[in-house]
Amino acid sequence: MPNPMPVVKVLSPIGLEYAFMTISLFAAAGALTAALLSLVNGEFSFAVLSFPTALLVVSVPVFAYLFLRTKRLELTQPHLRLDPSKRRSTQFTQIVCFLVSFFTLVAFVFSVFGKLGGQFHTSIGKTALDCLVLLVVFGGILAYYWRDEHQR
Amino acid sequence: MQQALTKYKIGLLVIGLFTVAMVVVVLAQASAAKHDTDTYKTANTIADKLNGYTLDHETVPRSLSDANIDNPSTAITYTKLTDTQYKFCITYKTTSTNFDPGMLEGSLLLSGHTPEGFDGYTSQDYLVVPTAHKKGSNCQTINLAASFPLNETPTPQTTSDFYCGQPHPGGNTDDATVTSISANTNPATITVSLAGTSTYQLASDVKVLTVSCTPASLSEVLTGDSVRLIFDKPNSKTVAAVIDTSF
Repeated sequence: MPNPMPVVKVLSPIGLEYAFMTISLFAAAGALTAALLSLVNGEFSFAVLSFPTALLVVSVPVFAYLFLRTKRLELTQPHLRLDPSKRRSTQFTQIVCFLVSFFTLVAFVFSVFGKLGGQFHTSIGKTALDCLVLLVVFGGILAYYWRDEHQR
Repeated sequence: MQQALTKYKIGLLVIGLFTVAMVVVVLAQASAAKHDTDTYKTANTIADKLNGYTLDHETVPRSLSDANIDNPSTAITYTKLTDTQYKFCITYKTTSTNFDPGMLEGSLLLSGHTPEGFDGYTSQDYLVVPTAHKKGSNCQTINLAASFPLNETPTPQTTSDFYCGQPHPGGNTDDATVTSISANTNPATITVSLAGTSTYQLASDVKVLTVSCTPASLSEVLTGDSVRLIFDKPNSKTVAAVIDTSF
């Protein structure tokens, strides 16, 4: 008799909430990065800040609500921390954040080489600040989930 | 449980306060931004009509109303300087640049460096209203005679009108395809195919630009790229600027 095989893969209830949270997390992270990059580069104009601000206004409350709700559920029901569809979302988040942080570091080293070789004319200090913004936002998310996955 | 959530609530509160500060900054600029958008649109409409008038009449009008151009904005002024020159000023309430944080982020991650600034294309003989501007008065002096002497038969041009708003070195302009480029020789050379194959020396301070006038490096010019070569003086074999039109 053949082994039964699942024909429909669905997310668990908390997994679906994590998927929504992941979407709002990336929207908030992108908006925060864009806003901080603009400020670091001395850009405060309406045209530059209006879209990141609109994204922040919607994504931060949605993310905050879902984050606190799922965190509260995990604290009362610890087995939810190991829910497979929840871990799929958090592992996807970690992979994306790792890639962004990794290539940000590559970009910084490349910029230093380019500056030394006279290929680029942008200030290395400004490039370092731009890279720092990306590392703080995406590296911070990676560090949080890394610690969350590895704690007992 | 509340204690365990407190640190997360503090972190989210900080991001929330940052969001509120951003909303305040954006709303405080909204009215001025609307004024500037309206001014820009009006200036563009006036520029189109003014360019049409100067092309048709080969002279500049005494005033905008002389050219049947409505100017409903007090932020835009037109002053005739001579028969071939006029000054066009726009007063904006805010500064606007072509800065795009998304492009900066993408450029940093994909090409490994931040793009260099570009304030927009302007011309000396044709009124173009740049999207980037500073707060306050932004004036341009347009000289129709910069493209060809008026009331004379235009002669074939030895210089290009298009040079990213920078002073033209004055030499010939050739459009060609790169056959090879040697950036490490002294002086650096570029070989192009243009009715045959020719090799030219590159000036020590050669400017390399993309078709959108963004500064580029010589290493970004590749074999097979279409380029516009601008020589340092008439009939010279030394290239002062390379505009790579393949970007």
